Amino acid sequence: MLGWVANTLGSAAVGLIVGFLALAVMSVVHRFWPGRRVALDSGRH
Amino acid sequence: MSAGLFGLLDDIAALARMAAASLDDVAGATAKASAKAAGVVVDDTAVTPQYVHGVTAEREVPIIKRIAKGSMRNKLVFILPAAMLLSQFLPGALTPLLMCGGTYLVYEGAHKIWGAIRGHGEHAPPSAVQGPDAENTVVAGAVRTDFILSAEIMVIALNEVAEEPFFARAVILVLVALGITVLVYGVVALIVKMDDVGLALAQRDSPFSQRFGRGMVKAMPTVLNVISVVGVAAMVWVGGHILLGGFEDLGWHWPYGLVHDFEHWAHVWAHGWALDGSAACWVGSRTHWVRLPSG
Repeated sequence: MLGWVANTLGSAAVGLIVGFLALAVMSVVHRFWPGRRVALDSGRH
Repeated sequence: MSAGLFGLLDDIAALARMAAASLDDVAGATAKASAKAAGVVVDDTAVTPQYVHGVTAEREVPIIKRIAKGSMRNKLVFILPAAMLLSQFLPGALTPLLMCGGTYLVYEGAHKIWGAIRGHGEHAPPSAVQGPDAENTVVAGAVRTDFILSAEIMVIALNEVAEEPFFARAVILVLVALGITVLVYGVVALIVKMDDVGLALAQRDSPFSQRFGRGMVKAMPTVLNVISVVGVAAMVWVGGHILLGGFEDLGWHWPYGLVHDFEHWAHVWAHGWALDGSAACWVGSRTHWVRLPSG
């Protein structure tokens, strides 16, 4: 059980790191290429 | 003659057993694939009710029905054939594709978390639907959004059953598509009608019904918020898990190794805690863990 929790937390940590990296990359893309915002935004957020 | 008949019956019984075993396999694999994909769908269960925000009560369910039909079309007509072709002729592309979906999920999760931290996380919900044109626009937008979610679900499910024979794989994916669409939009319909049910209860004579109905109406925003938080957590977790598995498959072992070490540490720490039996020995048990061999 605790192993599963640790695995879940580890996966979530990787998700957060990659997610925020992707967010940073997309912010830069949006700043220099604002026209792409509409196409990249799925509407789910 | 009777021996031949018994032989035939025996063959039929054997065939029936085989068919039952295959059906069992398909049902088991469908459940496994659906469970893996289920983490992804919580988010849309929270988001979809926003599409009927401000809509008259009698148009809510018809709009959700139309979105559900579009979702089913997305899965069965576009995504399923593409996924089957991919798994049959280009199975090597499955892992990178899955990782792209995983990256998109964690990006969305991070976007929502950042928005909540900065205080502008939620975009304004779609404006109230007035007239058939506006309704068509809202449904089209929701179905487009659903396409991304459906592709994520189907690729995750496909990855779980990639080893199955072609026909079984196709049947499992059709069942996953049907099951998840019915589940998601069924829950969405229940959520959007919940306040109407609460309102109807609140107008009854019984004081208990009135209190319960008012409670339901009041609880709905909280329920939606909880679903939304669980959805973000599920996105980050499922996406992270997909990425970890993908790194491992592509030969980049250290991220998964790190998580595995963490898992091992948790096991040993719990073991030390159980042996010591008291919080006073907590520090000692951690020291004990440090001295243990890692393998």
